[in-house]
Amino acid sequence: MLRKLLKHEWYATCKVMVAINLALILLTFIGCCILNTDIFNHKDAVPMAILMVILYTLSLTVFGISTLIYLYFRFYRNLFTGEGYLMHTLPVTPMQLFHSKLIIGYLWTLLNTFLIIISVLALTFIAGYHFAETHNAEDSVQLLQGFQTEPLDSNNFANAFFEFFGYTPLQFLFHLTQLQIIGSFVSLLTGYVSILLGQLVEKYKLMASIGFYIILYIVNQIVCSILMILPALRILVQDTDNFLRSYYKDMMGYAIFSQFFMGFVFYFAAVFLMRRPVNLD
Amino acid sequence: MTWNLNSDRPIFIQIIEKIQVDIISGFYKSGDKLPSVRELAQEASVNPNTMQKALSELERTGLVYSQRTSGRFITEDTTMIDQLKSKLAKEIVTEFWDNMQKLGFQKEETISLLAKTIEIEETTTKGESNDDTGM
Amino acid sequence: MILECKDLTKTYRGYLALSNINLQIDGGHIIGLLGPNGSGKTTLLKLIAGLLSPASGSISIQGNPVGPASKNLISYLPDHFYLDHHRKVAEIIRFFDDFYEDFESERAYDMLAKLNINPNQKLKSFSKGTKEKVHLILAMSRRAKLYLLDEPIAGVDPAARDYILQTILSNYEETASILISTHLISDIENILDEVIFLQNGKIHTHALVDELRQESHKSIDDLFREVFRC
Repeated sequence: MLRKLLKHEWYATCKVMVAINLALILLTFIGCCILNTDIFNHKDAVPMAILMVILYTLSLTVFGISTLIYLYFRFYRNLFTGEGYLMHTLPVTPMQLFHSKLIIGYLWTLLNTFLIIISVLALTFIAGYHFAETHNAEDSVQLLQGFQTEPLDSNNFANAFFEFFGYTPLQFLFHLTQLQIIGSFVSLLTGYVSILLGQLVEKYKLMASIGFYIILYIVNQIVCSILMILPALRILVQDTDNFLRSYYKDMMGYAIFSQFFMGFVFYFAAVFLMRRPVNLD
Repeated sequence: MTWNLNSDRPIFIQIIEKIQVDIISGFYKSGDKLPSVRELAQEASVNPNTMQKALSELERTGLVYSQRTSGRFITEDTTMIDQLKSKLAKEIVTEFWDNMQKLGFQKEETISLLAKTIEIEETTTKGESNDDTGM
Repeated sequence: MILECKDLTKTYRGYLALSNINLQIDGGHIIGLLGPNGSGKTTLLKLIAGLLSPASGSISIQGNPVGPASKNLISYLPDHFYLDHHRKVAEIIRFFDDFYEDFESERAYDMLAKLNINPNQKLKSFSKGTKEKVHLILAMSRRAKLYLLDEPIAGVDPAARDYILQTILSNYEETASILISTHLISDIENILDEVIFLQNGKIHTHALVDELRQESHKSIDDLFREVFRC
């Protein structure tokens, strides 16, 4: 039955999700095309370039948020409004209903997250490459070398990056991707848990859900912050020379751990709430 | 065939009456097979259980008999059908006579009025049929 | 026995929607669930369907508690539209066919054809009455053990009501039972063999229809008006 639920969930979400992700790909493609032209080579073009970058960043945010909002809305509408009458009278368990929504929702958020990361990387590369090409060819070689795993001896861009963060850019990117993979799981669950908590309230369930979302979001931030301060305390006690670098190096691990932790907490909260007796208005 | 069932009397009794009339009037002939309970229930827009109850009742009186596999049939005992016919006729006449008495009619008055009414009815229907043939 | 409710109680935002309902329904009956607004008809049907959870008491459907097994046996028609109206009728039929073992697509398509409903049209393009027919067709295309029909004829014209009653009569199996809640008693009372009168969340009467008629010399409709006179 879970397989059938997954199939129908995939089918039902396909249209909107494919549209959002295609728009994202299109945006990336257009961005690459614009960067490949010479229009930013004049000094006058700087304000224009800044505006474009702002617009691009905003669009990425909108794509990311709209994916989440659509999935939250689908979860709410499909399970707790009129359509819930259909879903909750199917010969399936509440757990199967929940997991079908979680798995398909997570696949879409993952796809969206990857496309956003690829989009940023693609544009950064092209911009960096063009900059190096027009200014100094050697810089571009250094830029590419920076993505090796080992820090370089020569005093280049990647080394400065390593000095500051304790990672090579490639390592940093790897960890950031890890954080995004687990973080998007937590983001999706934050919405689902909020909606489930909202169902516990007798009136204004949707408003309550939004309230719970804000609370859960803040809780997640607090837990994340506390876990990220811990390495700082340890390093302070050790009194190392390279305080900042050590801190940044450890911080990423703790951030990833904090999201793993919240993922577990939210998942079991959602399972507990889904197992409660159903009461549809 | 219309059933015209009223809701203020038990439905199964009305179904029995209806089928009795259908048998007497010759709609169902002696030895005919009755439709299935489900078909009859759908035709009459009634619950199959109610139809079943009515048919069981008819079976109990002997007007209908069932053969285990092939269904229900109208009795082949024509005297029984004749008896039922005279019984129902008697009931109607009794009711009519009761009503006439309530209106204050005497025996002779009632009979002559009845005869006159039948005569008028006959001539009008005859006239109509003559017209029809005259066309 | 198809359905058994024991001491079923449901509270709803502080007030008692149903109290101590004891109910047994055998196979092969069509039961009218009648009562004024707010008497608990919809609440009772939703409890049996598994959309509400009782405060106390128990429900069993052919020996199963409310859960996937009971939902497999019950075909439920809510009193409002509940399907995604952006979907085509054919898509919804495929959905039902996928999830319910006892759903028969051919019967659904047959009934749609008889009513001249195009299965390739989206649900939202239909009138209210046609939507209601589609919902009923979907519910009656299952070979369920228990049908729960909440106000199945409220929105359709009198001519279509006859068709719907015929649809109900011709589509359920003899061992199955149908529980119909309605306000339109006179339209439906001839197809019932049992009635349940609900009053303030309690069972006022549960009897055979013809026995009630024989005792009172009234139609169920008249009897209802008398019992629930305001």
